[in-house]
Amino acid sequence: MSVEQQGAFEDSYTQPYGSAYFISVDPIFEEQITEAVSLIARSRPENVRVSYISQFAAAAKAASPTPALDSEEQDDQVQEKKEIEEDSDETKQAKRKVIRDLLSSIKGLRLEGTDKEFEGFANLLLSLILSLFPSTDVDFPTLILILSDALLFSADRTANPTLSSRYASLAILFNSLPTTASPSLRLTVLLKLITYASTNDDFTVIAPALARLESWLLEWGFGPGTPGEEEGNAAVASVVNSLVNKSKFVEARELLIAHLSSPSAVEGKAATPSASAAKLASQLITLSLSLPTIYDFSALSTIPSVSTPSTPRLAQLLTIFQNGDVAAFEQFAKSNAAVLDEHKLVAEQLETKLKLLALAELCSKKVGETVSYEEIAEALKLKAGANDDGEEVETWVIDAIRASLISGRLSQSLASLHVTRAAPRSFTTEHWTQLASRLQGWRQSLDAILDSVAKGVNVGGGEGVGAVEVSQEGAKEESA
Amino acid sequence: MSSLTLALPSTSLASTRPVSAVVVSPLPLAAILDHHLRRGNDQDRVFGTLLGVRSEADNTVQVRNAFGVPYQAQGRGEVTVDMDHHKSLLDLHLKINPNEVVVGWYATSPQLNSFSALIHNFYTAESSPSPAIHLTLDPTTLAFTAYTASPIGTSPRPDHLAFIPVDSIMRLHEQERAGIDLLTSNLTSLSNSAAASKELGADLPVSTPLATMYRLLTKVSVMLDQVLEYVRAVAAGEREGDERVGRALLETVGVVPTASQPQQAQKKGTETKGFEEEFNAHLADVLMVSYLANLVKTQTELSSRLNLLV
Repeated sequence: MSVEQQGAFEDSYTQPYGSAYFISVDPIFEEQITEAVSLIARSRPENVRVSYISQFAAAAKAASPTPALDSEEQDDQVQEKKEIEEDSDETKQAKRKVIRDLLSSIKGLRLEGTDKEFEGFANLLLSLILSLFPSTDVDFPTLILILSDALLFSADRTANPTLSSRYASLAILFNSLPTTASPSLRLTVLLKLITYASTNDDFTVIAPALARLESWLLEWGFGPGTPGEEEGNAAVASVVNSLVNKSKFVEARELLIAHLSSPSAVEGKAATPSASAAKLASQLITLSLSLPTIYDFSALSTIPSVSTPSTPRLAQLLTIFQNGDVAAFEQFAKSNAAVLDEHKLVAEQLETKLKLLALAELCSKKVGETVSYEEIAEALKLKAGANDDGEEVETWVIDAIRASLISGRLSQSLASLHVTRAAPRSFTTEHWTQLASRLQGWRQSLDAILDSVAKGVNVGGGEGVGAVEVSQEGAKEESA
Repeated sequence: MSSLTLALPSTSLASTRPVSAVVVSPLPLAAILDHHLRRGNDQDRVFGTLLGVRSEADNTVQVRNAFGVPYQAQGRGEVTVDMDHHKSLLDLHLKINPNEVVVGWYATSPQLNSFSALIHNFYTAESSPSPAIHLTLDPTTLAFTAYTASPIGTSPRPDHLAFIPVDSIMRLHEQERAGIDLLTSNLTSLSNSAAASKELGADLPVSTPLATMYRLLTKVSVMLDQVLEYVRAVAAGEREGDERVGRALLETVGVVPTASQPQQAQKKGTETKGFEEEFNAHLADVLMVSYLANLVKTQTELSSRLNLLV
């Protein structure tokens, strides 16, 4: 019985492709082709439309095994569907030819239609390709790429179908690529999507894709230290470029950090990073230096390729930011103005950042204490005017607080800063020990509190029960 | 391979609004599994309705509840789903909570089939105007996947559908935590002896604020122990520490009032003590007040009873 029941859910119309499922009950090849062609025909000149449609309809009819089916025959067809599909190689070849012709006819064509039609059209063509061509077929990648190009081809923004339905269709295509499809094909499709969305400024749409890019690269064998490393690096470089072109510096930097610090890159510390990785490292350093929100440079030192960027001077500059001072930077800037220019780094901005770091370093030694304005002015090498009233110092402190490097309270009357928190510039063993002792202190005080609460729980519990007992007794008396 | 779900912008039309993620509560998953375990001998999977809430702000679907819908399979290619059952149960559910509407349906088999398309069409009509979702739960691996449907072909046919995966996550709501903790503690104690269940019984009459605080404090101290162990190992150079973890911890510790002044090592001891003492004193006050209040209450109770007797 159970065997038969399971059979109820078995059918040959459902095909899992990639992580998607395509269900078409009784598909009729001829109808499918006609549907697809009539949408394509809208973008053709009016005088050739009819002939275009009929040409493909005829080809599809010729390719179908039994052109005219009455209903009875169709039922038989269903029963023997598997056999037919496997047997008729000729039919399959003929169908494939139709699909090939169809796809070559949509190259460079701007598809038109409502969103719903477009979605259905994209899924239809996709299911035809997926069902007729195994992913190992030589034509498979070409056809998929033609389709994805056609889905994204549009002359202007406002045209129907909308951009979001184009994105959605391409995402469906990406998700339904079979597991056997080549990783390069996946990467190409994904990059097409990312590039297309970024040229249209739709970064929020592809944010999930960017967040997963690195894990996919690893999954597909494009991670550092693998044969596909160059391809992976090139992909990251192109995505980063399109992000930078649209002033999405923060996203670009995050992507670079994720890519350069991915596990296999760290494991292969001994191996020298490839030239393309070194280039990416340079870009990462430049972005980190120029972004006004980034002050944590010691984290970069854990990334192996950052120590050998394509421009060695940048590594030197990074070291200054990790543990040097303003004087060292001035010296560097004097002799390396060309390097700064080349990477579009502004010396004044960098100096400001460095000064803020110096301020944070000063404060991190005095958490919970007060720092006088003079000390700050000295550390920042400020030449305060006579009637400045510490205004300049205050500006710097406020900037540091805004960059969340420190927090604290300024006192104008005492001309001092009470520091409540300061980010250490680099995190050393000393900091770990300090952390351990603080945690220990917390632990101890927590234990003491726990003790008294435990006492409270016992006392409160016993007393409460007593009260309940009394009232129950009272109730008993009453009923008696 | 993990699938890609784009964060597509919202549209004004509900029917074309994309689904960016499906958030599933543990309750419906447990209900689905329960339903699967109680299925008839002759069935290998079960279906049912998913209830939940759609968030228009971020296009997520939150699955909050589920109920089973019986069906019968007659030989190959014939499945009858009891839609009346669905309708009457749905009515009852809507009476209890009108906010939770039909968002889709579930099946306890990771494989889809052509009936999926037909059933999905029914649920699309039920959840109209918004699109329905389909959740599959694999009863052996407990993995679940959410799908949305997309038409194949320019003239939509009910039996031509592409099921596209959507990001799905399980999220425990704060309010549900207490209940889930209780359920899962029961689960773990099943493997243990009766002693554990006795302990559980002691916990059951849910608790005064103070008892809750006691439990939470114990939890915190256990977590602190874990962190301390890690930090000590790093400080002693036994293992490589993650700088980001260190920085985050240092920030957190800075927020804790008692431990915020490590630079004044001697002073710190006294200050910690000060806080403790204050806390203890306050606690004692609170206990005294509650004791006195109870005393007064008992007194009045007694006197009223006595008055009745007299």
